[in-house]
This record gives sequence, structure tokens and C-alpha cells, in this order.
Amino acid sequence: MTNLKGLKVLLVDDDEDLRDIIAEHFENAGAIVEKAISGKDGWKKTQIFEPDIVVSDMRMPDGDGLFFANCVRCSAMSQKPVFIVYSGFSDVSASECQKEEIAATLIKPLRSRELIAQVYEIYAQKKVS
Amino acid sequence: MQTAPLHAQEEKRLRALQALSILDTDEEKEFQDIVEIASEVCDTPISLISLVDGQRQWFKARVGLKANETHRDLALCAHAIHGRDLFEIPDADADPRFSDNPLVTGAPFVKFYAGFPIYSENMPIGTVCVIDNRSRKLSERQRHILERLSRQVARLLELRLKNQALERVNSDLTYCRIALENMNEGVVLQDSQGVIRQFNPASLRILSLSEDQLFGRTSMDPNWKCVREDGSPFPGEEHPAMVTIASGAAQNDVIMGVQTLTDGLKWIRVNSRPVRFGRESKGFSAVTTFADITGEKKNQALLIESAKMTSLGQMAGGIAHEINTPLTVILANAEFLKDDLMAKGSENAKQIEKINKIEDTALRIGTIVRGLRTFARDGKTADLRVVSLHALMHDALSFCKEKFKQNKVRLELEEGGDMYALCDPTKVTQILLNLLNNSFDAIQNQPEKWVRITSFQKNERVCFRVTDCGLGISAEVQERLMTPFFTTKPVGQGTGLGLSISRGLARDVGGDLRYESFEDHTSFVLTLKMSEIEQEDGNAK
Repeated sequence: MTNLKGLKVLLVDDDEDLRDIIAEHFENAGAIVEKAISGKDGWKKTQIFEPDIVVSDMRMPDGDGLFFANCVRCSAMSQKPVFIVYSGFSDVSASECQKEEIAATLIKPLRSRELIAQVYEIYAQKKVS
Repeated sequence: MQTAPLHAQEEKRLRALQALSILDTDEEKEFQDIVEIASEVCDTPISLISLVDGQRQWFKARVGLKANETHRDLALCAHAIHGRDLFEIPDADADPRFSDNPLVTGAPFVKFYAGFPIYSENMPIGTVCVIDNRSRKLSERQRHILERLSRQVARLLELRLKNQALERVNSDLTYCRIALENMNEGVVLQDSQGVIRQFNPASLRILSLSEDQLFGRTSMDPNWKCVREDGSPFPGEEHPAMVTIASGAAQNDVIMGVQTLTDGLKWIRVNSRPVRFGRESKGFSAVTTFADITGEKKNQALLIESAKMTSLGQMAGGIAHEINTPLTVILANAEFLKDDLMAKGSENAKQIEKINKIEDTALRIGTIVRGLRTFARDGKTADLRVVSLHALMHDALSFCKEKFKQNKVRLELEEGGDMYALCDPTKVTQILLNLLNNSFDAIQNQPEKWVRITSFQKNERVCFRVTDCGLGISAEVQERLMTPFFTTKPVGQGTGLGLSISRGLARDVGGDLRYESFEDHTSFVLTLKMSEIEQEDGNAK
């Protein structure tokens, strides 16, 4: 089992079922999980929770993934979280992701194992640096 | 001097004279002969064909007189037109009506006058007359001849009228002919049996037929291969002309597809009207006009096609988005269960196997949805990415694998080392799908059906080759293969757009598509820009 012990992960998805099950996966891996239901909600919780990693859906009502990433990037936060987004359709381009400093983009349907592996990789790199 | 009174129906008489359009015309031999005969037979120095106009008498032909007209008030002929019979003045000097007439007292010193009226449309328009300078009378024989000569003039005038009418008809016909020959629409005349009797040049052009082929044909001729807009056959007895002939009812704007020998399927818009010809009192004939709307139809089809593809693309995008979220929920839950079972030990192998099935199926649904998305042209401009050829191939296959399997078409994939192309995956997948579907349709009648996809590298380019068991394409068909709307598929089955769109898509992404026979089999080669490195791109995973 991949060990994400102590890693603070913020999960943002408007789909409750998806949010909950992915949260469970992260919790099983040892992460500390906070959940948000939209881009706006995510931005609000980022300021309080101060996550290491944000895993967010792309297309959501009330603030989409790009909006959220943009809020974070433009903020005065000293420790900005790493962004991973996933999308149900190619509704985001590589250049947009680059602009908002999104570390990885995944396409649904995605496997939780791969998502966690991706997060772990980033986490491990961060630890090293 | 006594002036002749006006004729009782003077207005009508003048109209009859005007109708001849003869006044002030040149000398004509036919009329000149008559006055010469009259003068000779009656033995008079003067003979005239005098036409009595409103204010004058005008001479169509004359012997022995220089003037070609005199004032009507002086005209002896103005008196002569009041009767049906001979008007004779044996001695003008002795006749108080004329003795002081300047034509009697001066030149030409008329002493004797005899005239027969000329009738046209039952109106006395003038006379044939003879004049002498001595007093005398006509013999019985002379009188008869003069009478017949006046009738002869009447007949000449009648012929003249008929000729004029014919000339008018002729010039009308010329206009009709010029119009018919120069119009863009086809015009065809069919008799009451449906036999084609007349047609204009446009008919031949539109139907791609020669005169011999069209003349005498009927609508029932088996050589017509006509279809309705929905592609169903259009039998001869239901052609607009035949319906019009049978019912006497006009048919309007009937759309008909005509399979021509040389120019493929042509679309025409047909109107037919019932007509009756003099000799055939029974039954209707038909005049049919038709316009070539092939171009119109093509544009329409193109618009519909592109609108269809765009909306399908949008819909597929929506579906992909909506389905992929719940699919992820299924996957994540399945994975969760699997992790749980695996942690508990090996006695759960069977359950784990089932969960693997769930995962695989969910992933397959994801692939199909992606295939659906790429099938549709989404109208976006090319979005160039680095994509693996294998991924492209599998994306395309996911959409048609099942169809091939069910129809026992063997799909052969060359699974060699993977290569990378710089292209828009959506467009390339669509091209591959078009090629696969074309092959699928083309080989339906082959005993052993297979389609093979291979990839290779050539001159800094990566290529896909789609080969099928078909035995190549004839040179003529090859020439027109990529032309929009060219299709060899049965009417209603192919749009003839697949290959042209595919080539357009290939060129959009900097590639090309061409036909190339391969080991005697039908084969298409899609070339794409090669990419050396596999890009670090999350989307490609």
C-alpha cells in the first residue's frame, strides 16, 4: 500500500459518490483528506486547510477546476498546493494547464490506484526537495 | 360632280383593307399580270387594281396610267365598290355624275369605265377596272373575264393574309425554338401513350442521353433507373408525366434521382402539365419540364452532413462527460473492494476475479465512449498532439470491433514497435474509422473477409496502411475516389463523402490520404507527421 501518511489532500468534485470513494482511497493510503464540492468551495477550504495536494475535477458548476487553480496561483499563499485535475472530456488544453501550473491532468474514467501513484510521486519529489 | 357616298360599313371596310397590309407596297408580278390581262382582253389603254382607302384610291397595279393614286373624291372606283356586280359608265361625258370630273375633263380623259369590286373578308376594298378614252360597252365575254379577274385578285389577297398569318406563326415558332434551345431546364413532350415525341437540348444534357436514346422512349422503359429522395425505386408508372397522362392532373416539384450512364446519379426537379393535341381528342399528353438540382442536392447534403457531424460531436462530448464520472465511481468502488479483499487473504480469489471483470468492463465502456466522440467531427480546428499509433488504432477499433466480429470480418493488427505521430487524435481516429467502415462495406461479397491495419515509417513520416481482401480498385474509380459525393455504394447507402472528408481531415493535420494497391489488394495509406519523442503529457497516458 502506497504510504501518504500525513499528506494533506483536498478533494474537489461536484459528484458526491466520486468524491467520497476517492476520499476513502486516500484515507486508506494514510492521507489527511478534506472535501469540497466546487471550485469556489475548494478555494475557500484551501485557505483554511492549507493542503499539500489538490485533486480536482475540471468541469463543475460554481467555479471549475481552472478557475480554482487560478485563484490559488494568484493568491498570496506562501505554500501553494500542487494541483492534479481530472476531466471527463478533453475540455482543457495542455497550454491552459501549463498556465495555471497544474502538475498533471488525468482523463476519466481513471483508476484510483493510478491517481494515488501520481500523488505519491509528487509527494516523494517534494520530500526530496 | 357627284362624290361617291361612303360605304355603309366604311369603318369595317377600312379595317379589312388595313388588315391586308398592302397599301403602298411595291409592285408585284401577280397583280401586274392581272391588269395586263384585263387591259388586253377588254382592249382598253388603262387597267387598274384600285384600293379605296379613307382619303384616296391607291393602285396596286396599273397599265396606262402614271399616277399611283388619286383623291378619293375623284375616284370612279369609290362608286364601283357600292355594288356586287359590274359598275359600268359607257360615256362619262353624257353622265351628269362624272361629266365635270377632272379625270374626265382632263388627263387621262376618262370616257369609258368598267369595274368589278374586289372583296376581302366580305368587304369591298377596291376594284379591278378598265378605262378607255372612247365611249363603249364591255362584251359579255369581257365582262365575265373581268369578273373572274376580280375574284382572282380577292384570292391573291386571301393567300396574302394566310401567308402573313403563317409568317407570324413561323416567327412565334422561332422564338419558341430559341427559347427551348437556350433554356437551362429540360422540356419533354410525351403523347398519351407516354412515348417521348419532342424534347429540347437541355433534356439530353441533363439526362446524359443522345437524341436516339431519348426519342421514342416511354417512362416505362427499363433503361430508366430512377429513385426517390429516400433512395427507393421510382417506377415508370409513377413518374410525374405518367401520372399526368393517366389522371389529367399537373404534378409539381417532384424530386427524382436519375441514374445516368456517364455522369452518375443526377437529381432533377420535375413538373408536368396535361395537354391535349388537336388530333387526339381522347386522353392527355404531357409536357414535362425538369431542372438539374444535382449541385443543389450536394450542397444540401454537405450542409446536413456537417451539421449532423457537428451536433453528433457535441452530443458525444456531453455523453462522454456524463458517463465518465459514474464510470470512475464504479472503478473506484471496485478498486476499493479489491484492496479490501486482497488485504484479507487469498481465499477471495474468485471475488477478486469478478471485481477485475467489473473494472475491465468499466474501462471498456470508457473506450467506447471515447470512440464515439472521435467518430464525430466536432468542428474544432486541429489540436496537434503527440499520440502513439497504437493508441490511435485501438481508439478507432473500439468503435467498430464488435461490428466486424459479428459479421465475421477478420481484423488483423500489426502489433510491432510503437511510433508517435504529431496529429489531432480525434481527426485521425475518424479517418481510420472511415477507412475501416469503407473496407467493411466493400468486402461484403468476398468469400473470406479480412481487414489489416499496419503502421510503418517512411521519409520522416509515420503511416497507417489499411488493407482489405478486396482485389483493388479500377483506374477510373481511383481517379474519382476522393471527389466529394463519388460513391460506388448503392444509392442511399453511401454519401460519397467519407474519403473526401477523410482526406480533408488528414490534410488538416499536415498529413495525407491516398489509394495504393498493396500485394494486389485494396489499400489506403494515411501519412502523418512523425514525432521523435513521446511527449510528457498526462493526456497521453
